[in-house]
Amino acid sequence: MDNRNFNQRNGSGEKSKAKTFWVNVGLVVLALGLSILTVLVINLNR
Amino acid sequence: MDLVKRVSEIWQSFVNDPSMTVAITVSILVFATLYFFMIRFLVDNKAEAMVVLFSLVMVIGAAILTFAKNINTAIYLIIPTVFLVAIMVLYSVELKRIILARKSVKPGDVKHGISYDEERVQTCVTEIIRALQNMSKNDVGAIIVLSTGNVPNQIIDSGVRLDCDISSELIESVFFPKTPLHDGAMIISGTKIVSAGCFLPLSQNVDNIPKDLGTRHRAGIGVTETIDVISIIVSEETGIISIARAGKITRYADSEALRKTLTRYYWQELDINKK
Repeated sequence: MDNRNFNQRNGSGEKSKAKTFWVNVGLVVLALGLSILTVLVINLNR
Repeated sequence: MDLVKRVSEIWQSFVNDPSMTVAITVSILVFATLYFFMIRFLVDNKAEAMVVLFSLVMVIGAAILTFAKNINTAIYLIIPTVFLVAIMVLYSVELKRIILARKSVKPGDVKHGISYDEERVQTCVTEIIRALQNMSKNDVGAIIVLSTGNVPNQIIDSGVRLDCDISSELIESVFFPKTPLHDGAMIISGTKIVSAGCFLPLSQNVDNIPKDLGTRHRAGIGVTETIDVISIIVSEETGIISIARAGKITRYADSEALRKTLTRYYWQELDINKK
């Protein structure tokens, strides 16, 4: 009986992890940029 | 320029005044955390366009408020607030999944404190496997969810409560074609069939599920994405038995795989005491 897990793709696991890592890095940079912008704008004319 | 002067003043107070340093740093971290989870949620739900829109509106809003006079720039916070409310309204179902998944009981967390007769458990395992194999042989579609009492009442009450002992005859009768409860899922908790004919949330993960799997399999996978349960699915078209756990499906489960899964369910996940 074949009990393969269909979610496993040979050789693509590492590429997917690297892609996820860089996406997360990009999101962190974007979030930080927007938060710095927010704090700057709020403090500009209080 | 006023803007340059004002930014310079803010920078000076950040550097020279410790209280401002702390306040600004904490503010940046709090906003960054909020924005990260918002943007991450949108990206996970394939809404990259909303991320772009949000970023554009934030930048344009900042530009407008920078040159506006006599306006308290704290109103800038309206932009992320509006987006947050929009996300909560548009993605209420997805947010509910996340909350339900967090509230699910993990294996070993709950001590049921119930003692089961080892013979009774073995009987349950045998009855479930016999029912699954009979249904597989006759191409009868079925979904059985093995829970540790952590399935929300909303799902249990969507079907018909049975609260009865497990037997292969009863399981096969429930899923027999054209009976009133055959089209939903059966929820088993311990040695009891809790309910049948229940509606389960469909899997939203379209990338990792084979295209030849239908709605029954997607429901079986979907419930395991949000709640820590095991679902066993019998295909109506092919009779293939599959086991789904944590959003992943293993097809072509034989009697050995079923016995292993059920034994693990009863003796490890339920954390029951042997009589």
